[in-house]
Amino acid sequence: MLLGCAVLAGCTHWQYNLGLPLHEDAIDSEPGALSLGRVLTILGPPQRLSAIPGGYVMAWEHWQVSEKSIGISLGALGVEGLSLDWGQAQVDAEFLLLTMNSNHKLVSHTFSKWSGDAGGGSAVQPFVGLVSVVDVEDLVKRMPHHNWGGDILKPLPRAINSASAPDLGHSGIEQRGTPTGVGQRSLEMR
Amino acid sequence: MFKGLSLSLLLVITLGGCAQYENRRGVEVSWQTQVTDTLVPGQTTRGDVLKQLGPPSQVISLGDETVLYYLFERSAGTGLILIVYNDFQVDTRYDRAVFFFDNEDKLTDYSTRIGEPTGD
Repeated sequence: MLLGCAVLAGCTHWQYNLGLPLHEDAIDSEPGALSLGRVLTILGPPQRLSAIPGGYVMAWEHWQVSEKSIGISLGALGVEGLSLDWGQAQVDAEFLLLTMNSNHKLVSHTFSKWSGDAGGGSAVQPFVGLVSVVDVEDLVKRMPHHNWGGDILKPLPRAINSASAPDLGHSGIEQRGTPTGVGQRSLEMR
Repeated sequence: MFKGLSLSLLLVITLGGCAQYENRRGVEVSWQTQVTDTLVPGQTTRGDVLKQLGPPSQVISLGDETVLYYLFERSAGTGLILIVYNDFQVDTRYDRAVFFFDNEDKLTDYSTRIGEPTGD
């Protein structure tokens, strides 16, 4: 144990649970058979909602993100001032996407469920850990609704994309962790 | 040897700790049942809802329709800190309400959720 205390700088586990589990068969009706009112009764308010031409899309989501990291000081091995860091993230997610037409009828629905590796890494770093070897910030960030008004007041290069930004509810929606290098976000010059 | 072991054990026990924290974001939850029971699709107007619930988190334009979206996000976390091993858990729940209005500002559909139970 003494050796463990001397060698191990720390082992940390973060577990994030966002929302509640979804049921794959919650919506099993044929398109056109289900009204908006019935959908809201079954699933409650959607977590994401946006207008699209001829109707709108609504999404419900449930995420479980697990982040594990270990830091080992190499001082006990005679290598003073160096630490060995390792980290890994695991994600389990469910996403239900419904498309409604302007007559409040269900047009299509799709459900996806996946689990897998969300990244990780390792590093040998001097004195202090300057590099985070695992990062799940984009997966656990707050809902975009909180920034609705503020998004329009972003610095000009980003604000000019507000008409197409997926956070404002009139240009589609995007899932957590969507890469920004391609697609709509790539128009947001930084 | 025994003394060293006892000392390290004492150190771990002494330096151990725990944490509890909460993060709240969003609008005040005012869509309780006694409020929403007064809403009547086809009669209640957007002004009535705004008057009762205040400014929403998001206003969405759906062509001729509009949507008022109210969201209150609550994260509760607990942590066990033992220096050599630390464990944290964060549970986030979404209290929310959504109201659809037609081109005459009349309520057509709505749905609310408050205080979702923790897990199935």
